[in-house]
This record gives sequence, C-alpha cells and structure tokens, in this order.
Amino acid sequence: MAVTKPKLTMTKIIKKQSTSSRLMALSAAAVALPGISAQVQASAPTETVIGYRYTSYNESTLDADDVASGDLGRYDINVNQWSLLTPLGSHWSLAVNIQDETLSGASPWYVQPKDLGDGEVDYNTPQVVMSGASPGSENGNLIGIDEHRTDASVATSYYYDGGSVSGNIAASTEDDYESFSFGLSTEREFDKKQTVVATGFSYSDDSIFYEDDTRVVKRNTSDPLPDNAGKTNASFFVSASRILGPNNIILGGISFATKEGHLSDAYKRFDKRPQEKDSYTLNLSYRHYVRSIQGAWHFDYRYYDDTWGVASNTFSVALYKKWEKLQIVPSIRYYGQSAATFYDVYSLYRKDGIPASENNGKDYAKWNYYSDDARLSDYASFAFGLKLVFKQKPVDWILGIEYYMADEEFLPGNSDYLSHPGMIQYTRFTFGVDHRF
Amino acid sequence: MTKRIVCAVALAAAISMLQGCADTPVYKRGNLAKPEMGWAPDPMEAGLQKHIYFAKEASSGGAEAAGGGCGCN
Repeated sequence: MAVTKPKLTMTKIIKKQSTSSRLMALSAAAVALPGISAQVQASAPTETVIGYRYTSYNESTLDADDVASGDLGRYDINVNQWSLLTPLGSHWSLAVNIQDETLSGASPWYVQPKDLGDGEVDYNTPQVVMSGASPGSENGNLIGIDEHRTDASVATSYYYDGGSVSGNIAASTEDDYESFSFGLSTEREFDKKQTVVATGFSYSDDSIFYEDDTRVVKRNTSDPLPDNAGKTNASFFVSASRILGPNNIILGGISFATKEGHLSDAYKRFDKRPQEKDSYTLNLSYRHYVRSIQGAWHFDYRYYDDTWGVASNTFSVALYKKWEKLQIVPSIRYYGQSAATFYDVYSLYRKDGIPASENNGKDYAKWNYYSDDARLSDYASFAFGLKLVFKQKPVDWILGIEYYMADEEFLPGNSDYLSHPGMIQYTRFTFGVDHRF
Repeated sequence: MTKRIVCAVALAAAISMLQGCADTPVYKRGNLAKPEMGWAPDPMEAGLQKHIYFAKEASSGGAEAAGGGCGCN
C-alpha cells in the first residue's frame, strides 16, 4: 500500500511527523513475513527506529461436550519480535525484522460422530479428536504440539525523486517446516504526489517434513507426506492511493496468488486437498482525520476468492484517538467466509450427502478431495481490539489486547453443514516499545 | 472469473475517476502526514495480526504480495 504524504516541501514539524509515519509504515514490509507488503514508501526515512514486542496468545479451552478424546486445552503461544529500520545515506534504507515464537498445546486431529456406546453413534453431534497437550501429556500415542519457530527478514529500499524500489528476502524455520522467500516492489508518485501507484511480486519455496519419524505425533493418514514434500507460492499485487482532501485519503488494490505442491494439512488425519490453489483479492482502505477529536478513523475492506470455493469478506474499523501523550485505539473486525467445496464436518463419513448410517456404516470420502478442517468451513468471526500507546519521546510504550471468536452462527443465513465443534476463540496480549533516534 | 474481471475493471475505473478530484495543496496536507493516518501505524502489530489470521482463516493476502508460509496453515 502506498502512503501519499508530503515530504521535502512540508514544514519542519509536519516533515517530522511524516517521517515517523513513513518509518513505521515501511517496516511493515519486512515484518509482515513472509513476502513484501505494499506498504513501501516513496520517501527515504531520516531517523532510526528500534522496536520490540512481546505477545502472549492463548486459545480458549474447548467444551468437553465437543471433544471425543484428547486434551481440551488448545494452543498457547509466546512471541518475541524485534525490528530495526534505519536510513543508509539519503537514498537507501534498511529494515531487519526477527520473530521468535514457542507454541504448545493440543489441536484437532479429526472429527467423528458422537459415540453413544453399544456401536451406536449420533451423526448430528460431531466431536473432535484432539491431540494430547505437550509436553508429557498424551492421548494414546498422540503427542501434542510443541514447536519453536523463528523467522527473519531483511529489506532494503532505494528512493529516487518521486518513487522507490524495494527488495526483501525472508526465511522461516520450524521443527517441521522451512520457508524461504523474496519479494520486489515499486512505488511511483503522480499528479503532484497526490496519487501513488505500487506494484509488487513475491515468491516462496517451502519444505514440509516430520521432525522425528519415531515420534508419533498426529499425522495425516489419507494423504501422507511424500519425500521432499513442499510447496511454492507466487503472488502479485498492484495498488493505488489518492488524496481526496486535507483529511481524507483512499487506497484500492488487487492481488493474485498461486500455490502449488503439498497443500494438505500434514497434521489432520483425513485431509486431502488439491495440489494447486489460485486466489484473488480486492481491497479498499480509507483514512479520515477528524480535527475536533484529534483522531483518525480507519476503514478497511477485503474481498477474497479462491479456486477451492472459499470466498470471504473482511471489514475492519479502528479509531486512533489522542489525549495528550496517550493514544487509544479501539478496533473491531468482522470476517466471514464460505466453505471449500471439499469440506464437510465429517471427512470420511459421508458420500454425496449419504450418511454412513445409511451405507452400512461404511466410511469413505465424499469427493476426491476432503477435509474436516474448521478453517475450511463456512463461518464468521469477530475480533475486538484495544491498544494504548504512551508517547514519551523518544520512546513509545505500547499495550494491546485482542479478543477473537469464530462461529458459524455469526454468518447470515443458514449453513449447509453441522456446526464444527472445533471453532476457535483466542485472547492476545501485547506489550511493546519503540525507540526513535 | 467474470466477477473478478468486473472487480478489477471497477477498481481501475474508480482510480481513474479519482484523478479528477480537486487538488489538495501541499500546505493543506498536514493532517494526512500524521502517523495515525498511515495505512499501518504499528507495522509490528499488523505483521503479527496478519500472521495469526493467516494461520486461523482460509483467506490471506491483500494489497501485498504474499510469500512463503508456515506449518500453521
């Protein structure tokens, strides 16, 4: 995304404000691992910013009625982030971002009808079979997830009169996953710097493997990982922003991405997905400054569509309100998606809508591809956020909280599927600090 | 596919129409330059949020080029 902001011709104060904004917006390009964001800037930064964030992410415990076996507790993740953005001379900048996270907990393995005993099952009551929590807790031979992930990116930009060119390389490594990616993007100002057009491309090559063959973690038995499993992802975007007046600016963009390779989930028992997926997005963003409250409204919308049948709408609204040195940012986000064409709450218990109970209990796939992953079901979610920023120059102190809840009932209309018992809720706490010099 | 083409054409048309908007002189762009008017005022938080949504939802991407992934999705 491009920010059309004045630079050399502004007053000194405005220039300082603008610089900070540019700095922070630019670092989004590198921090948004992987790939490169459209939030590159046409103007070179003039100050260095060092940032740190600690985040505690906790998923809510599942109801016992929704779980057939395994642990009820889900993921807990601790995340540390570091970032550096600095000018290199008058025409270059460098951004370095590192993110380190540790993850533990249980996750859904597959969904089955509720067992009523004596060989009877209730197909109207799906229940998830969970992995065990980790470490040390097991559900049979199913050990829970215990992961460590580190990713890092380096980005550099070259600024010339009226535009910039940026490059980015990134790497991410986990116990069972590696990803390497790079991206290129350009930005060009037009029409007295009121219109900015940005374009970008990125490519990644990912490898997937089981960290330890002797460790029986929950596995995919329907589409096992082949040797040298991996996937690639290429994506493109173009966006344009335009100043609409002294207090209004708008941005629109489109993007296309194509994935190839092993796209099935390696840790879902019955999960077989196509080996290709193309996706498209259309996004619109609008910023409106209200002088009377010394605040800015943020409105964002994204439409997403892919060749697996998932289409989604995302709306988000935030208010950035200042009181002296304190900034308060309440926000709300709504996300709603349709189900993938090969999704069903029971991956293997139905064929073309015929329940297994009417097929001598025989279980087989509904289609050539199948998944009971809640993330491929039709559902919607709300996220409520609140952030406090205390600006004590040259340091900003940041506290944030977000509550997220997903449910099929948040979607308008009726669903074609039984409600998935593994829908997620989480709470995220973030503490951070930024230092400028 | 037709819907996507219509969306792209509509977006291009909207952007071209915006070219006809009245000019905003540089000296009136002070509010636009405030940090809170940025597309992503806190890029570290935005990056993490994007990562979480990528892991928990089927949709990803936007006005950006998506790159590699993680074992989370």
